[in-house]
Amino acid sequence: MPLTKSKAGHTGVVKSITATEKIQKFLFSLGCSEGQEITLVSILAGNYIISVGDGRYAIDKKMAGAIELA
Amino acid sequence: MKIALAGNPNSGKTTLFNAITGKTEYVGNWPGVTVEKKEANLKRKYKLLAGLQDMKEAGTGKGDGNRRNQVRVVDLPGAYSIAPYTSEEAVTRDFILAENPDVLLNIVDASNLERSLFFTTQLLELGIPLVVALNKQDVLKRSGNSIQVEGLADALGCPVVETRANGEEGLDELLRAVGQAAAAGASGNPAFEGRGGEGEDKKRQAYVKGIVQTHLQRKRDKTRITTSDRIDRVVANPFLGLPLFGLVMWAVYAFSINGLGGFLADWVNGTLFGELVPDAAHGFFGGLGVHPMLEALIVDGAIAGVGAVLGFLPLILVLFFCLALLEDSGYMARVAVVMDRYFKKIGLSGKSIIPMIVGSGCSIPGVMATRTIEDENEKVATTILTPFIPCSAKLPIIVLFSAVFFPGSTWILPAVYGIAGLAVILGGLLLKRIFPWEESSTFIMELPEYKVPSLRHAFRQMVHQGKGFVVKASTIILVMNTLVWFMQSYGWNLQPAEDQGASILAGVGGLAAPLLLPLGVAGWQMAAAALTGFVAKENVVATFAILFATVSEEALHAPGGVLAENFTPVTGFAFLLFNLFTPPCFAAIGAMNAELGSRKWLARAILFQLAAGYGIGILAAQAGSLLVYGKWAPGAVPAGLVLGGLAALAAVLVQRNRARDAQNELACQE
Amino acid sequence: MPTIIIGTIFFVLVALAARKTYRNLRSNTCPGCSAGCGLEKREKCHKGS
Repeated sequence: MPLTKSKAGHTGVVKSITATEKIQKFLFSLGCSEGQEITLVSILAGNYIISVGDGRYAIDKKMAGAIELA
Repeated sequence: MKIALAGNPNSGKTTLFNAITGKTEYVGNWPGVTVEKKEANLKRKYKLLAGLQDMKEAGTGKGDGNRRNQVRVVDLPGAYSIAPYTSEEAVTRDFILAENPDVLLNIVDASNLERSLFFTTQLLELGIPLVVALNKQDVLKRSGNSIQVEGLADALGCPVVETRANGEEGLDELLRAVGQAAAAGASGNPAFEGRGGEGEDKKRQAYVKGIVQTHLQRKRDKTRITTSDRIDRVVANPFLGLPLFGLVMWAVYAFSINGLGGFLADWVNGTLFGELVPDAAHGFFGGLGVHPMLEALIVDGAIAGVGAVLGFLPLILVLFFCLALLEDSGYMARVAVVMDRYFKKIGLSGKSIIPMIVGSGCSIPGVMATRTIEDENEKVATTILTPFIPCSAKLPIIVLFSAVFFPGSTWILPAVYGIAGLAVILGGLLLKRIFPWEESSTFIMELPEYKVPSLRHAFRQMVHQGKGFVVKASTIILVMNTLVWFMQSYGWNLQPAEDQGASILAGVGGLAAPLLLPLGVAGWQMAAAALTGFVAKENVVATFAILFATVSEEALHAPGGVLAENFTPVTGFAFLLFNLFTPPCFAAIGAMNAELGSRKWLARAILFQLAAGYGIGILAAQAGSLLVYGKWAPGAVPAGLVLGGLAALAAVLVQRNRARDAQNELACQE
Repeated sequence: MPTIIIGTIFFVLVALAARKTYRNLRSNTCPGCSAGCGLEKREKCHKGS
């Protein structure tokens, strides 16, 4: 299930990320990669607010769609 | 001896840098404020604490930083990893690899330990003595979590010191640790299986996770909805977000310009530089028996011009105090989230709002802040559009025209910023259609937790901006004023001109003056002011002050004053817009050149801005006059021709791009 | 005499200001502006990397 389909408050494990290697690496350095838990905190103004590790990030819909949760 | 500060974005590197060097570099509570490395000397107090004054004798210092036994501190842009994602992250890596600092001071955000330590372990492998500053202790305490410092230091094999850079806590101990580390040599290497091999990053992550699990006691569930999240729901609401941002900015500007700041500026402009200083100076020079020509140069040239600009200092101070408070709270990162949706539509990114907010202070750091934008097209568009946002140098022009033509009105300033916003939107849409751009951008923005803004921080930022304003007035403005005074008092034969109309400046301004006719503005004085404005925008005000100082006793900014004889309120407003949207000062053009990286793009950017400023000015003059006075402003015919020409040019360029697109598509299909 | 003294002081000040302005403009910044490339980094800065 892509992150865009999950509900606010849902915590899931990342199954795969479909993006360029550069973006994958960047997400990885934030702690968002395969096998890691992320939480969708809320959807605000078209952006997805996710909780990864101890940080909060806003990502756009395109990127949220690239993150597949198990 | 060199100490380099490295760490994640928004972990407090620059705050720490300022604290240990006594500098006042720009700090904001959002990621990516520092885009260029900054260097300064370590404060003497800390140098002694660290025991670094003996370094030279011990022979451990190296590099040119060792001159006169200096300890140089280098602040680097934030990075999440050694492998760079944006160009400013590469600065960090390149610096560490190329310049080989003696000690790395790794600032770790204690409230986000895992992500920070990933970078720490990479830094440790460089074989440079490393000290970890476990920063943001206050945020950590508030969250209820705690970190076992000694255990963490053992696990990493390097000293770990708790700090709170904002309150300057823990710095003594930190610098002591730095001194010891420099003397002791390289720190330990992180030991985990599979280093350098396939899937190294994964293994590193697991290794870091292990360390964090052992040494971090969690009280708080990290996914719980916090107060921060609840505030976000309001300020980043799809419907409320934008109006709220408008309201906040309006309040800040209204308070600064019509409120306290304006009140103070009125006094400084009207009384201090209007009467007290010139009178005192005249008295002083008269008493000494100085040649009247020199007296005129200093009083009517330098003092009148620089004073007209300096008069706006109180306003700038109040404005930047308020903006610093707002930035420090963490609100601006949310604004980027709100804006992303709109900005995407016009070929920009949500992150483009950051250069624009920085650009409201000065276009130069604004243009440089575009480096945090990953997508090349969005970066170029943002670089071209950022100077549309009125910077602090343009404020004096806005406030002057508002005071002369629209005394007592509170809507001019919001209107100007509104038009600036509109110019950005329309400009973005047009750029997107003129140049072959494809959308490939992604948006990721870290949202720092909200905090109560620090008054001390705001005060320092205010002093920093104020200092810059004064330095600028006393250098580039002073030089231009001296030049302007000579040019307006001497004729081409290098003899004092009998009246201003026969001066060199009148000649030069007269050449450019016809260009202003479509704006309904006539007179070489206006053209001369606009020309000097390209050097630095404050010069528009300063030049008016000098030119009219000799012809009018009245203060320049008096309602309906001498300026009102040369403009109608509508053409005055149009002239104001013309100055705001045409290319900014020389220095900003230089910065644009650096960021765009090619002469071709620089030329396009400048032409675009010229066309935009000219077009908007003409439109405002003619349409405004028709609406307000029921007839066209003078120069309606050339205005129509210019506008028609610009529209035709835009149409041709859009068409050409469309044709190119179609061709590309065809090529793809074949 | 006072004219020469005051004039010299004034023009020295203006010359200093001009020098600072020139050096700052060369490194893509304005006097008093916090950003811009450092003088020594100018080469690199122009490459935009």
